[in-house]
Amino acid sequence: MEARILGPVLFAVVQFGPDQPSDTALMQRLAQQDSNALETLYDRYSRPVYSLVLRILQQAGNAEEVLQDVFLQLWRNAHRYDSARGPLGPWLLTMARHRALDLLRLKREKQRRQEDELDFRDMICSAPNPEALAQQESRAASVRSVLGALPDRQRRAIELAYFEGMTHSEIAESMSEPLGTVKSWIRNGLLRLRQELEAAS
Amino acid sequence: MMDCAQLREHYEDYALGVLEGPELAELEAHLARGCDVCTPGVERARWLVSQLAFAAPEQTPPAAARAKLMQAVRPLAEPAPRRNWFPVWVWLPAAATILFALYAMNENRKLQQDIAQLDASLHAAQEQRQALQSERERYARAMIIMAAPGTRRVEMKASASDMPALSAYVHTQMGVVIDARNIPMPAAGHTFQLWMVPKPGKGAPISMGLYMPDANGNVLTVAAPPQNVGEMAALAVTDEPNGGSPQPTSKPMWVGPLE
Repeated sequence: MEARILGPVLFAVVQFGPDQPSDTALMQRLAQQDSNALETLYDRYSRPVYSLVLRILQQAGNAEEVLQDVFLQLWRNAHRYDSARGPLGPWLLTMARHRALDLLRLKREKQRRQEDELDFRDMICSAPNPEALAQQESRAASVRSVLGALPDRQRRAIELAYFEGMTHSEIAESMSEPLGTVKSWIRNGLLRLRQELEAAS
Repeated sequence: MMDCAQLREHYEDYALGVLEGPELAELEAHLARGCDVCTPGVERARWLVSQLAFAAPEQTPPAAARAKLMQAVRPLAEPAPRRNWFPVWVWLPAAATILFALYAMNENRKLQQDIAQLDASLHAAQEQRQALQSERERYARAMIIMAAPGTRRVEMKASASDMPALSAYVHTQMGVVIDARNIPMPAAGHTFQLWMVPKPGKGAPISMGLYMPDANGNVLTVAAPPQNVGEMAALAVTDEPNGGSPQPTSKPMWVGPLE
């Protein structure tokens, strides 16, 4: 894993000052087609989104295409976002991951892209403690710490799942490991991550 | 059929996208029907999985990407309210500007209406897709039950000689599938209701749900089994008023023995 990671960026964007509008206020303005609100949200979230999709796609042009697509989806569907269902950051990152993995599969399988298959209910992320969002930096450190402490092959299995969109069977085949082993690695890794994040909160 | 407690351990795998096989089908079926245990469970798992983004190396998008986005969006945006900086002596040109702005706003409004229509079409298409998805999941569940070891086929004979029999597939844990072809529609304002009829002395019939044949008179419906299937003597279908009845109010149109 490269030395510079995304945590501080997300921390910086979430830790906007008291004179900065909240995500909820910006999304309300976005629903009224206020392009200034989109600019502010872009400045706040484009780096983490771009970092994630570039990690998945490994190609700057494709990553830029997905970045554009994610923020256009945000613009078109702002009225569907309900802040009561979960924070914006994880919602955007989840949408970005879906879009990037769609493009990755398209390139791998030469399938026709299904632009209209995005279901926003599949993006809802419910934070266990929304008030703890200000502790984003410590959560980022927890993620790095947990992943860094895992054995290489276990971490690789989680990366293949998250960044390359592989299923249990595909990971087992790719890594020449028994299916049960892969399932345990991923499950235990995520359980450990949950425990760490809950402890950090 | 898996219950929510059994599915709980798969929420993270589902959010991560690694889940496969019957567990995936079961969990998707719970989510498709808005299960109030699995839906928030998956939403929490999705948040956990989203945190893995922290592991990505930091990168800054090209500056041109921002300009490109705003270039795409600005023609669709509502103009922000502006203060009139013009002095009185430039009212005429200002008025011309305002007229042009009104024209532009009108064009913009038309564009917004077009977008709203497109959104409505998209919404309708999504609803149709969800209905198809739900139909597909129901069909998949029916196939799983029909093919499962331990599933018993029960022929449900019709009370009228000119009506075809129904086929019921009963699995004590997974549920009951009713498969019918070319059956008549119930009377207007009525629906078919499926019942489990207990053995004598074991209580009243238990409703297993309502169903209607499709336009071709076909039915493929899945019902959850009652807890005490062993105490049941027969399956029966009655014609009931829309919304169903707490207990059968008419003579069964189809009956199949479970013993």
